[in-house]
Amino acid sequence: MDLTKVISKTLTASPERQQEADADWEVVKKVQAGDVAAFDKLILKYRERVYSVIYNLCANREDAADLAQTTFIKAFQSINRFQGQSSFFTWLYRIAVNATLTHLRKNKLRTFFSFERITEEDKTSELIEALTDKSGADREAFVKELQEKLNEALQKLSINHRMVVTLFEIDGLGHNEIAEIMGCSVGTVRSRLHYAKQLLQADLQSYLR
Amino acid sequence: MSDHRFNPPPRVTLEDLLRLKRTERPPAEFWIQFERELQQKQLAALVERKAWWHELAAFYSRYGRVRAPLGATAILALTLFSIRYYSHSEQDPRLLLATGPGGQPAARMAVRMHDQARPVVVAAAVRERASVEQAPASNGKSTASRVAAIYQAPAGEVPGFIPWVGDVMQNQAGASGLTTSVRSIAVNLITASVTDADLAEALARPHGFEERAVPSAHPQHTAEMLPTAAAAAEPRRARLLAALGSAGAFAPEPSAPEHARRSVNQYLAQDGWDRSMGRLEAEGDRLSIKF
Repeated sequence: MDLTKVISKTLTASPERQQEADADWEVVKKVQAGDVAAFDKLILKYRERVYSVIYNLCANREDAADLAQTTFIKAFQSINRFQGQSSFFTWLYRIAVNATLTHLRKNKLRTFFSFERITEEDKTSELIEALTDKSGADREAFVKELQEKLNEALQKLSINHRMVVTLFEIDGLGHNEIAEIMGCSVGTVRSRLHYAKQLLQADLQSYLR
Repeated sequence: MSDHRFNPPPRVTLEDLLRLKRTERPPAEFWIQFERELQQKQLAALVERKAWWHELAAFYSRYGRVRAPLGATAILALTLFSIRYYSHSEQDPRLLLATGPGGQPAARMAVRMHDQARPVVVAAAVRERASVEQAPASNGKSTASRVAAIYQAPAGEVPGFIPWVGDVMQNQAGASGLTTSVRSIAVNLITASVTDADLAEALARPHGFEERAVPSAHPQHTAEMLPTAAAAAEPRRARLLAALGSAGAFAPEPSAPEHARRSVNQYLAQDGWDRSMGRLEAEGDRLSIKF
């Protein structure tokens, strides 16, 4: 690994992330050595996060499942090319994001939304409580409407803006990691995030208090 | 009174709303199906034959550190090879196809292009045209073999059936061989001086379209009929020469453009073209004739 990469990784990554990256690198080395079954560990570990990123970008659960599977297959096929210069999850995210971008550009005119259901325990969360004083079926309808509006507002954003919002606000990645995944500067990530939030704020004004 | 009045609802920010998206999770059974499909796709991917460029990409990624020097070396090698190839091909003998009246290519000859331009006095050569016209009859050689002899003549030697070239050579101090211009002129003059029978045979030979369209044509009929025609010889000869010129029988000056060759052929087809010649200049391998 390049010394500069190691230094930059050490400086930017949090200790937890660094620990996670090291653990992943060990598994990757096993896969590269021929232990194919070790890759299943990585799939189990990252499938939900990869699926979530793709789902929030394309807002279609079937397409998201398909693209997540493609991501893992691509990662497996090119695992020998992974040299540990970045963390495994950044590399995997980059594959997922690129696959999603290609898919979205290819199907620009064909957009179908199909959403995951919000779980029951989340319907009674503090946030929902704060947003509505309704109960029962009314609350169900309100949550559904809110979900649709939220996804609608996100889909109005450009792909790059949507990606920044998804990775930062929903997946909780840092600016540096997003910059690495998207192949742009941290400043660009910040400005895109700011602009995207302004647009979302204007669109979801009626739900904000 | 309810507590609601005293406890205003908590503030809801955009970040809170976006966090709601995290709760959109697929059910557990989704992952079972996901796993099954992924395994199928993995198996299919393993069976699928990879394209050759995948191997190339893998090779380059494996040797990532030497990628830049490797690429630079490859580009340098390609550049050197190109330069060497093109400079070599300019010096190499150039193949020239001379067509004889027999219907087959007379000979494929290597013509060495002269690197240095040498002064050539061609005026004498043009004046000696009459002697060239009589040469084929005297030595009995075919046009094709004479054309071949011109191109294959070794340095310093001049074929005997073109005596006018000997004069030209004497005027070239230290000349070691025929220049390209002299060769071209000699070939054209020999072609122009062929007999009517040879001309008719050359014309009867299929050229391009006729060869494709009429594969069963019998050129010997035309060759037998034309020489026996009783019409005046000179106008017919001019027409035949013009037709032969347009059919590409004349050996063109290698560097002359197409339109120049065409106009030269037209002039050569006219009677007394040499009398209408106003100025003749020769410099190096170039000959310019002004009519």
